[in-house]
Order: sequence, then structure tokens, then C-alpha cells
Amino acid sequence: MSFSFQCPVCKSIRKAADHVYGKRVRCADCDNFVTVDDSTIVQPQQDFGLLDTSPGQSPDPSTGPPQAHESFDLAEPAEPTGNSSSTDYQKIAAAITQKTARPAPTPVAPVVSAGPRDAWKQEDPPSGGGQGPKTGSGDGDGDDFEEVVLPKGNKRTEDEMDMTPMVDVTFLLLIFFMVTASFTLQKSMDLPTKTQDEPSPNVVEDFEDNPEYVSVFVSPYNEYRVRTSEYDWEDAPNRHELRVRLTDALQAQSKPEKMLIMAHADCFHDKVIQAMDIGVELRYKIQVIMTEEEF
Amino acid sequence: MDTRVEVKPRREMSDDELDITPMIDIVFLLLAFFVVVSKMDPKPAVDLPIAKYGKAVNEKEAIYLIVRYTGNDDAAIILYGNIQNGIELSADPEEQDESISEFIEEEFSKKPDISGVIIKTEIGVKYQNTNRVFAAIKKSFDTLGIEKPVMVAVEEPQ
Repeated sequence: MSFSFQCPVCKSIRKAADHVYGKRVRCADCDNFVTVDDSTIVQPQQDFGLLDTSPGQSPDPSTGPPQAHESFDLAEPAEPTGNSSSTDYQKIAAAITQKTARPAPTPVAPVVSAGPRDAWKQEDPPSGGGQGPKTGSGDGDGDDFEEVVLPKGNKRTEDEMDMTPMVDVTFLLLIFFMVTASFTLQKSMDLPTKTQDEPSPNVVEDFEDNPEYVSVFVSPYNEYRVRTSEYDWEDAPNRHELRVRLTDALQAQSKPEKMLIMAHADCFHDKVIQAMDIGVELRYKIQVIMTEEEF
Repeated sequence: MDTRVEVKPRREMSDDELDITPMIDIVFLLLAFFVVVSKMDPKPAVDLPIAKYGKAVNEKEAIYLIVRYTGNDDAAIILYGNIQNGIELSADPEEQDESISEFIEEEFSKKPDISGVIIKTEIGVKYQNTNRVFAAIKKSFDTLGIEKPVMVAVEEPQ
């Protein structure tokens, strides 16, 4: 069973299956959403069957099949009805006249033989020519509904596709790749260590009187001691103290440029890295050696 | 001609009409990507010392060693190269040195364009372990007659 309802916007009357009642459907003519309820429903006897242009009633069987009204929603094209009277045709014709008044791309498409999809593309008369004369038939004529094979103007075409979400997500993807690409980069520092199998105090002694060097000792208790050409070992318990001492050392007359980090074998690796980081910051040339002596 | 019929010139795109198909496509793509990537990177997280002035080195062009904190003076060493991956060395320091040398030699003989070696020493490991690993790497470099940088991995302060 089906019933008819009227779109409040374009006033067109559509048939719909029973299960559509109470739901929101899209009008296939104007694409507005219509709630099918008592306010929009029309009584069957008032239905003048705008869409009843079924092949069964058509004088020319090749004229617009029901697919002409195919839609993407629940509003179904009207079922073929076999009991339309001739007065119905007059009403249909009047309705068709309304329809053709729409500012569609091809307002009165002279198409009869072609299928509905091709119909709106063909502005020239069909090459078959058999139905050609019918295009000129009068407005009040019952045959006029042949011309109703109009484009479904609101059919969604491919160039209408909304690209916004895709673009959004593509940008997201781009940002993601940029972020993860930096993850594969490992921050690292050169380890300018002198290789020696036996840590020897003699190596340290070589630097002892050299005014170019600032020496930093990392004790086994993970504290720093600093020696410059101006003073002997001074404590620098943490990295902030060490930074102050190394900054001061830069002001010394000897203008030290090199920094010797003497890391005790038992000190923590990260303490050595901290000292190196400060050295890099203050633009020292760094040398790291391991020692087992204490200073 | 009867023009009673009100025709809207063009319907507007309302929210419930939004075509989400491409978005779903790409979200699935993203998901697949995540799944693949998470399997490709089974490397353990290493607690690295913090330093501001580290240089960025491409991890894929270097080979690296993880020196793990074990709670005592020794350190667990894991080797990561392009050919061999995730080899955990025995606790014996001498065996470790030997394995490191073998690892470096094999990696460099098969892929000589490696940019360098990174030592990833974890916080809490004693410096002698880093030094020992460094010495082992340098020794194999001398054997191979190559000169490549040996670096220690750091982490940027947050």
C-alpha cells in the first residue's frame, strides 16, 4: 500500500510506501526534507498523480518510464495505476506545465525516445526522428506529459562531492608524518674520548699546567670539581655551579678554549653528558678521558 | 505559463548530507598505517640523559648500541644494526667487547655507508661502561681502517 503526500516547499505530490509515514524524507523534486505526517499527507482522491506517467498510461510506450523520477530517498516514484480517466490527463498536463516552468538547464527538453538519463543531455532532437513532431504539440494537449522527461536537476553528480573532510584528514596525515619523521632522528653528541686501555694519571698531568685547558673532574659521588690555570680544584656540587665556574673561567687571562672532562670510572654516564652539554654551550673544545684517580 | 511552483535555485549542503566516505577511507588508511608502523618498531624505550645541544642524527643511517642500567656496576648491552637486530650480549665484559667488535665489523662490511655509531647509555649506568663500549668500537674501527663518528645519544629537555 502507498499514500501520497505533498511537499510543503515545491508543492509537488509524491507517492510513498506506508513505512515512510512519520519519517523525514527528501523530496525528489526540490531536495528539501519533508516530514511525512498528517500535515503533509494528501487524501488519495485529491491525488492528481503528477508522477503517474507510467508506460501503461502513456500513449507512446517509449515515453518516460518511472525511472525518470528515480530518487535517492524513500519517496518512491508512483506506482503505475491503470484507472486514470481522461480528466486525469488534463490534470497531469497542467501539472507538467508547472514542472516545465522550472528554470531547469533544458526547460522543455524535446526528448521522447531517449532514456531519462540521456534525455537531459540531448538538446538536439533525437536522430531517430520518429517522435520529432510531437515536441511541438500544444500545451493543453494530453500528450504534453511526454515532455516531462526532465532532468533531475538535483541529482548529485561527481563534481559536487564535498572534498572538505578528505582535505582535513589529508592535512592531519601530513602533520602526523612530519611529527613521526622527527622521531627517527636521534639527538646525540660526539664523544671525544681518547682511547686508552689503561687510564693513566700521566695523561692528566700533561694538561695540568696548560693554560689553554679547563679541567672538570666528575667524582665517583657524581659531583664536579673544576680547575683552571688560576686556581686549583674547586668544588661545583651541581651542574648550575659548574656552569658558573666554566663561565668565569672563560673570562680568565689565559683565555682557555679547551675543556678536559676527567670522568671517574664510577661516576654516572649522564653526569658526564651534563658537563659536556655545558661545555658545548660555552663553546669549549671538549675532550673526555676516564680516570680511576680522585682529585 | 503557470509559475506557481516555487523552485529553490540550489539546495544547500546541510550537515546531515555530508559525505563522509572519503574521510572513512583515509581513517582506515591511517589505522592500517599505525598498525604496520607499531609492528615495525619493536625497539625498547631507553631513558637517555638530557642535553640541550645534541645534534640530530638519522637513526636509520647509523647503527647503535643500547647500554642498559641493570642496578649494579655491569650493564646489559643490546646491539642494533641494519642487518642484525636486537642482539643481547652476555654479562661478561670480555665477551661483550668481542661481540661488539664482531658486530661492528659485520655491519660495516655489508653496509659501508653507515654514518656512525650511537651509544645509547641509559641514565644510572656508570661511565666506565660507556668508555668500555667506546673503546671496543674504536678498536674495531682501527682493525677495519675506517674513521666514523661515535656518538652518545641524548634527549632534548621537554
